[in-house]
Amino acid sequence: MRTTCVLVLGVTAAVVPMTAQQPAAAPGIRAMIEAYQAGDYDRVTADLQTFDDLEEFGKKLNADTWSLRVSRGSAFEPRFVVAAALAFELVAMRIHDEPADAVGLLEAACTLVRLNLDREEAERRWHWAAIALLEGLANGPKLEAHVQHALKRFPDEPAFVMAHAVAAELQTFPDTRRQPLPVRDPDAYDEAVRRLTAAREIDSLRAEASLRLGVLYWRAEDDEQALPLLREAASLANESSLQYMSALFLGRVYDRTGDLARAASAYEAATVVVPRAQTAEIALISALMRQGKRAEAANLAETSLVAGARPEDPWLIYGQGDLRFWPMLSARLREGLRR
Amino acid sequence: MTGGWRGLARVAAAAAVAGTSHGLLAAPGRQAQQPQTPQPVFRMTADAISVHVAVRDGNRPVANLPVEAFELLDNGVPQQVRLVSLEEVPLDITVVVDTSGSISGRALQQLQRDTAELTRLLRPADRLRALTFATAVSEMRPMQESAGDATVAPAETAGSTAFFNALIAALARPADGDRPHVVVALSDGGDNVSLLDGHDVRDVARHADAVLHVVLRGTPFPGTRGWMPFNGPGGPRPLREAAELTGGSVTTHRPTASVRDLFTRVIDEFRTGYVLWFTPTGVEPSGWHDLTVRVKTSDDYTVTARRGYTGGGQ
Repeated sequence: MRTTCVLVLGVTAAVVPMTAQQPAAAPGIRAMIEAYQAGDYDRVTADLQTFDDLEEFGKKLNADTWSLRVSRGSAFEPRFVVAAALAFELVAMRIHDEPADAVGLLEAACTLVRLNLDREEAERRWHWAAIALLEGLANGPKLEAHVQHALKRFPDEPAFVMAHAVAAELQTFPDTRRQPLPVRDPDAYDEAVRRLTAAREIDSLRAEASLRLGVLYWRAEDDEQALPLLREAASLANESSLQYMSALFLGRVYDRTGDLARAASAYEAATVVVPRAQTAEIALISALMRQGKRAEAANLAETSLVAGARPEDPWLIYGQGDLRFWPMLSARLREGLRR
Repeated sequence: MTGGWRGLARVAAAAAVAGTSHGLLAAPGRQAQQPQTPQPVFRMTADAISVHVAVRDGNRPVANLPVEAFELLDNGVPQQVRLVSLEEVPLDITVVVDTSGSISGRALQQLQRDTAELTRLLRPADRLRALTFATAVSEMRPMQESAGDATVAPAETAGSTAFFNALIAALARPADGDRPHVVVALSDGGDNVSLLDGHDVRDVARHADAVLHVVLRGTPFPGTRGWMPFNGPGGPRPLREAAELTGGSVTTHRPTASVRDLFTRVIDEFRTGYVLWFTPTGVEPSGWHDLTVRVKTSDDYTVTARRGYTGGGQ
């Protein structure tokens, strides 16, 4: 990825002056860029859905965007970020079904978005939204590559520092398709500890970094180190998903140490933060059963099993970092590029 | 927790054992009574423990054994037992059905056949409850009679697989009065979202009334890509231990193999099985108790019973 970027940037200096001689942009791309900047997202979505081949779309996007140069000499040209935003929109539609091609398109778009010499807010927003999508794939190496690019452009952005730590954390999860499971990679584990520890030094990240570091220690069966971190996370967290997760994993630590009463209290606290999130409910049922509180466990099970709408269980997206912010990040990206 | 029959339970209600439809039992501390309704009602002293026991000679259930034929050891200490035959006692079945996206095509068709086979084996007085699970666990059908007509298989499937969550939710249901409770879980076993794992299921099973039978199809625990709760789902071993602790089993089958024989055996074990009641003596009340049950009159019989219980409310 890095090699590719260097090549593209090298080409920039040589090729840009010649772009006026290149073929005109395909109407589709030009029209989509204009529609995106005008806020006509329904049209953009409809047009993007006509592209079957993500790789071909990436090539077309790259070629046509170059030919759209209109403000020669400007320090910041939104067209690159808008083009990358189009790619982002298409990736968001297809990443679940075609993850490999979607990541490829996002990487191609990343080379576009970094062509501007100035580092503008729009680019920062694009990187964050793209990171959230990659975190959704839970693919550590791909996320790592993208975060490195983002950090090079915005080294002090807290969200990217956290994403850097999450990328390392993802590397500590074994590939469970392999049986028997591989032995824990100590290098990956140490790197995750190092990055999360660094992230704790940033005030705005301290709650989440403490939570993730606590969970990492819990996974390593080091409850002594996990407990104070999870307590700190619980006391600092002001976001419901972090409050839920802190309480849930405090419960897991107490559970393993045999303190079932405290475990049940912690699980119950999680159920209060996000009612009907079933992971905490099942954990509480388990703790109540093992305390001999059979009637309470049965009553909670009956309630938990009632079908119907449920909130997003924060546990289900814990490994996917900032994916939980995706709707907000997508909206902010659009908003920042409107003319 | 109410008193009455369970696979094994500490009975909270202080009372006595009333007779079966055979009028076999004398209640501790009370006179045996003639049953007033077709369904027998058992009530036990607060410290009484019940253990469901199935005895087979090869594949053939062995019925009509006298109480003297059984030996029961609690933490190695012989116990004085009383006996109930289960032939006339209706069953409660909770069927736990995997409706995740990994069940599709032929696997889904087989799942529909499996649940139909199971419901056909039930009698009018038996009750059936159905839980379904994908990313979440839900009750599709509450525990009720008319089980033979029930359709409990999904028409379509989607989502992740919260298998361990489903098992814990199913095991949390206490036995209802005098009715034995059997949990039959049907899945490919590839849990990929539960925080709790097979070890947690095993710990819960130590406190459950139900007998757990798990029917796995395809490749159990095939693993997954991306992040997992911690070090994977824990593998099949703790799940197997969980089922065996309750007196049940984990069996694996080819994707389209019939499991009718298995279901028949599971149901027959309850139709022709026994409940041994005893009040623990000579053992520490609290903590985990290992149970051993054998038939003294023949070493050739296969005896299935739960492996123990948790005493002292812990």
